Amino acid sequence: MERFFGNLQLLAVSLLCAGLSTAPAVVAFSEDENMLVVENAWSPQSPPGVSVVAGYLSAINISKNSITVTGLSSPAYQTVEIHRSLIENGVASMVEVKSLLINPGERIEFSPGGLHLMLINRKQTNTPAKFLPIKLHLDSGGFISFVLDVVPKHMRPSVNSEAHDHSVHMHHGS
Amino acid sequence: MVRARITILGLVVLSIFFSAVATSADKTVTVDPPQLLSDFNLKDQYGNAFGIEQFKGRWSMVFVGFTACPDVCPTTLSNLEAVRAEMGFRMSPGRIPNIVFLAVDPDRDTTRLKAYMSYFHPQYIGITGAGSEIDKLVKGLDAFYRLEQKDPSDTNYNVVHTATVSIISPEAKVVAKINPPFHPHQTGEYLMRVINKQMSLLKEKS
Repeated sequence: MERFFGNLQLLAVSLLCAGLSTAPAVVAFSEDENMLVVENAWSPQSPPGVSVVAGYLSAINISKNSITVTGLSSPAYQTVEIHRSLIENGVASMVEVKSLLINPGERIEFSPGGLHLMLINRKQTNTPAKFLPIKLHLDSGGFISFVLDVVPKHMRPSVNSEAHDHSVHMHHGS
Repeated sequence: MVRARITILGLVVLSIFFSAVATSADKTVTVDPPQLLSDFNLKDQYGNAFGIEQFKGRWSMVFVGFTACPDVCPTTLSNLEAVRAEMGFRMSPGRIPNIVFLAVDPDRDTTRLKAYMSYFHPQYIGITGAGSEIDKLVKGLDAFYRLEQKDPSDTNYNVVHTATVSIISPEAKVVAKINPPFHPHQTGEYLMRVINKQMSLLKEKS
């Protein structure tokens, strides 16, 4: 019971913070009680003919336990991965993040020029073009689902590639 | 005691100020003397020839990228547009550099380039062509790229590429380089200084 109220307090604080930003926040949870507040989840409308598109969001772990994301899927894309863009010595590259740990209370930013979702090869589905459902696969065996809003390019939120959260705990893939 | 504290505070403020100046200076490089590009033979998104002549008579900023780039390239193109918008407040349109996107992955880029460029801005120019011709321009820009295709059946490969943007003068010379995150105000201010200086030098020459 105490744990439940603890979670509610965290949730209230998170929603208050979320209320200060422009996009709505949702609480996404798995059957095994892992909970994330997902804010500002969006994907730029992909340029024509391009098979790879990025997804961005803020995720706050409001559970008492840490959450480890070990995989992703979507009914709209064949493959969904987490990648991080890196610019080192003036050269841009990307690394896949195979496993992402989010500690209790930690907020992780997926933002342009940094950590991002990568959606590869659009499937022929009935999924509405304006929304991309995403499912996070957790190491606990549970799943957390949420939706990315597809926004036209001119609606892109302002970007700041200096504002990355470097406190993210990651295990890079090879 | 109070004085000592004020001195320490002053030193801290000064050190923060100087480190900020050093950081912002690192993000821009003035190429002095400007480096003339060698000729190359590429095509723009409409199929028109694009070589050194097409750089002449206008200012350009060249970004090396590829159309299947989901994060860094669209972010850079949007940020450069913000820089152009900032410059638009205080500079005549003829001096604002246009964006030239050098697409270095011709197998995937050639057919997509026209739609890709118009998605970002009708005025942007996208150029690509044979690998050997791309390499000539890449060399002139002192840039770098590497296709990370594992085998010919691999269609979702990444391309490692220079994130630096080169500023090309109306004489087809590299005059400056700018680096991410392309803060609109700081980068715009720097480019206006560089461009106005070069334009007065050109006037003196003529």
